[in-house]
Amino acid sequence: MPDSTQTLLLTCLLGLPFVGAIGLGVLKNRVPESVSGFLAVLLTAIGLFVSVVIAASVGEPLHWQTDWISFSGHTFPLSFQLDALSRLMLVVVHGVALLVQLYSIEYMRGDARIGPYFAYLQLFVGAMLGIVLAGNLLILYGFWELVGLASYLLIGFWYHRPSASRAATKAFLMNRIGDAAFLLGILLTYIQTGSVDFGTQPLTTAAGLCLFMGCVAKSAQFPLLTWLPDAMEGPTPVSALLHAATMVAAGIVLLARIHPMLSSDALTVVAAIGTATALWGGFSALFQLDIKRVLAFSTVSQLGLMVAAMGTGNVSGALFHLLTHACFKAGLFLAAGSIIHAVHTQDMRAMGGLRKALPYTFAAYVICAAALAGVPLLSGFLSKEVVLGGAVVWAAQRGGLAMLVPVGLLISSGLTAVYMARQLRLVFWGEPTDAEMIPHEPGWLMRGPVLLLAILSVGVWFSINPLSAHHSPFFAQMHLPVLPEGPVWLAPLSIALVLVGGWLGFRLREPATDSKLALASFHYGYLDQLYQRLFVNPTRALANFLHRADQRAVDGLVNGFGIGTVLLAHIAAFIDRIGVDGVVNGAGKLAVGVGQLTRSVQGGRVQTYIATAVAVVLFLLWWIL
Amino acid sequence: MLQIAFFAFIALTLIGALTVLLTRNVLYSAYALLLTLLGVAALFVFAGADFLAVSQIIIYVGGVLVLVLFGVMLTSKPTTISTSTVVASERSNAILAGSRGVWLGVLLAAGLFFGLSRLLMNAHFALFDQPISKAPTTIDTIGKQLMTEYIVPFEVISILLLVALVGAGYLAKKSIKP
Amino acid sequence: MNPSLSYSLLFVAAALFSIGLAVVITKRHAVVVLMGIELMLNAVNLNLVAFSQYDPSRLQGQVFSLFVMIVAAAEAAVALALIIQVYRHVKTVVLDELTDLKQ
Repeated sequence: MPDSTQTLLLTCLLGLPFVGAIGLGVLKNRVPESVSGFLAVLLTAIGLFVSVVIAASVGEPLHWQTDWISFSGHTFPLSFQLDALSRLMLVVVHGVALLVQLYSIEYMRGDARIGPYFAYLQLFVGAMLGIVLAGNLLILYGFWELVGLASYLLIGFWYHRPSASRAATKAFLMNRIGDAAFLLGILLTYIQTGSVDFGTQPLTTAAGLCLFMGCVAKSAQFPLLTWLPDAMEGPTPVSALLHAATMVAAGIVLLARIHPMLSSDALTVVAAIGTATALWGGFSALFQLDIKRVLAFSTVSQLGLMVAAMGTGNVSGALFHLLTHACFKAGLFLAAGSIIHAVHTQDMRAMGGLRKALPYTFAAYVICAAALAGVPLLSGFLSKEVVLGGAVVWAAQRGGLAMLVPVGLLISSGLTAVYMARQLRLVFWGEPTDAEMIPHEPGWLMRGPVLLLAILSVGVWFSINPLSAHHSPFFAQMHLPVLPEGPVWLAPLSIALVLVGGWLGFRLREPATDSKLALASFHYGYLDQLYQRLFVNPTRALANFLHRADQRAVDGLVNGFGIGTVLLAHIAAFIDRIGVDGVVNGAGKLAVGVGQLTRSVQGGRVQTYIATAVAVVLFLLWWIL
Repeated sequence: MLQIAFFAFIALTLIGALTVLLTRNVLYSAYALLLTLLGVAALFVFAGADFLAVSQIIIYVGGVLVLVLFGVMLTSKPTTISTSTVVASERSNAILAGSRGVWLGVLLAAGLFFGLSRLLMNAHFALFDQPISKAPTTIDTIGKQLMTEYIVPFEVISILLLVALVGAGYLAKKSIKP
Repeated sequence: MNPSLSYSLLFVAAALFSIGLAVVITKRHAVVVLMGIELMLNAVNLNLVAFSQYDPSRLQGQVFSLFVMIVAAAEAAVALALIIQVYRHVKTVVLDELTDLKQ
């Protein structure tokens, strides 16, 4: 395919979602709701078609670049690139977004703000495509912030719920921490290398870690993971999109891009944080009661797995896991949405026995959950083996404390089996809690995407050999070095862990909700409470203090001024009564003049404001001359 | 001869501007503004900008000034000042506007002028050492520039004019539905 | 025109700008304030044109002041529409009585 055609297709890819976002935003509710959903689906379908065409035509990586800003010797290019990673992510993002939007047509039916909903979704997809296609750090940062904005809009979509708007604010603020560090990292990169391109040489550890902080916030890594469970306040299809293809994947894409720029110390930190996140997320998912929160923490845990894989130098493994994870996690969320749609609650204690009522959803859920847990023959098993194998090989080379990484990852994958089995038991087995209510399967528009994603979670699509993915066509496509296979004992060991974990999760009796362990898990290790105490409360206290100081000092000054004027007037009156008229008039005029001066500054007259501004400018002019 | 004309036009411009400032009658202000705008157009000619001079007359004198006059008339209220005053500018058909904070304003303006002139006196502009234009007219250069280098601003400004037209019409409508 | 005359154009522009500023600050009638703004814009145009004479190949100053004029015309139209609407609303165009910005 000639380059010019690819450039055209690229423009079309990046343009379509934004056109959709603006168009749907303008149309709002002026068209019937089915039309806006149809339009959004159509746009994404075109995008999917184009990206499949691009992905199928294996070509040289394409770079497209033009000067954006240049001043006094510094030039910042506007550049996009289309390499193997972009091709992969284009298909994943479009595929998941298409299914999610199809699903949303039915799930969101009857919502008053259906037009803006699809507009935000398109914005989200467009921003994510921008991240995927960005050719340097600066462009990536721009779209990065756009993803933040879109996630804020979508998480807080039902903004009339206080919890939703609080969750949206929290996600936004948490991401700001990471974004600030990311921006700092870009600046450090620029200082060190003189360009904002994705470099191939390692930078200093500090710069690498700053860049990595962006990923920490977006991909909900330890310690900035608390926003992800709260983000469940958004509509369920949004959660599916957010967890599978767009928001959290952005961090992994960033990490894949900057991987060559990280020094070996930085990579060790990345591996450590990934492992900690995998364990933390897995532990927190154990005793959650909300069906979506379990999935949220499982996402945290799986993201930890990917980040740890990146840290161990296993970029291809992490991306492979991202791909398989996108399929089954989107499937899980959409299936959970179907369940919530059917029983109108998110509390797993109020579910149970849904196996018979929702057979399709049940089948899809079991397949996806098994894939997540890493049951053989399914996609999750393959990618987890690649990640774990890479980690074991890496640790064997390092020795010592490095062994903690594969051990932690193995434990977290065992935990995955435990909580997924527990969730299956709570939701689908047991007796229905409410005999009156008979849940129904949703329509085909919702069932279809779920089943399709479940089918895509079967391992045979990714590798012919059901026990190893090392000869998968995926790696040949990605032009990335395939890591050496892990030791032979790894696969049996992890299968055994999954079986034991699954049995435990299925058999385990629910601990009392107030036991220490369950509480610690439910509050995800009291991380939020810690932040509350460490950061939020001191900030509030500072704000309170400043407020009080403002009240005391500033207001006191103003009041004192008033009292002083009154006092002055009294004195004047006193002297007046005695009869020294001249002094009295002078004092009175002074008081009036001062009063008018202070009053006129805030008089609401535009001209006064202009005069003040000019006076200040004059003052500055004087200063300069 | 040419210099005398030049300074005469400068005097015309400044006198017009001062009249805008000093008169109380809004209509007189508008007519004085006409003087100033014409003077500036003449100064444009002296500075070798013939096309701009013509545009100045067409746009400002023909367009903006007429708009301003209409604005004055559409917003005038019957004055309460009695018809018996002898001052010409306060007759009954005058539309009066007072001033406020005169000293402050004049002080600020004088300060600004003083500062700017000090700046100009101390400055030496490198551009003034360049050779001067000998072209008989600037129209072809401006035309080429507008169609090549400034094509984007040119198109954008056409959209701006359209938007301003629609916006002004919409704003000035009898009633705006909330 | 020799550079000394160009300098005097700059002084005229400075004076025109200052007078315009004085009009904007002191006058109470909204339309007169608008006239002051037009004066200031004209002063700026005069500056641009004075410099552009020494740049015959590109004439950046003249093109720029052409744009300024057009924008000023659009601005005058919108501003007068606003003034008329304000006048309908509160029956006055005296700026001292329009202190809603205070709230």
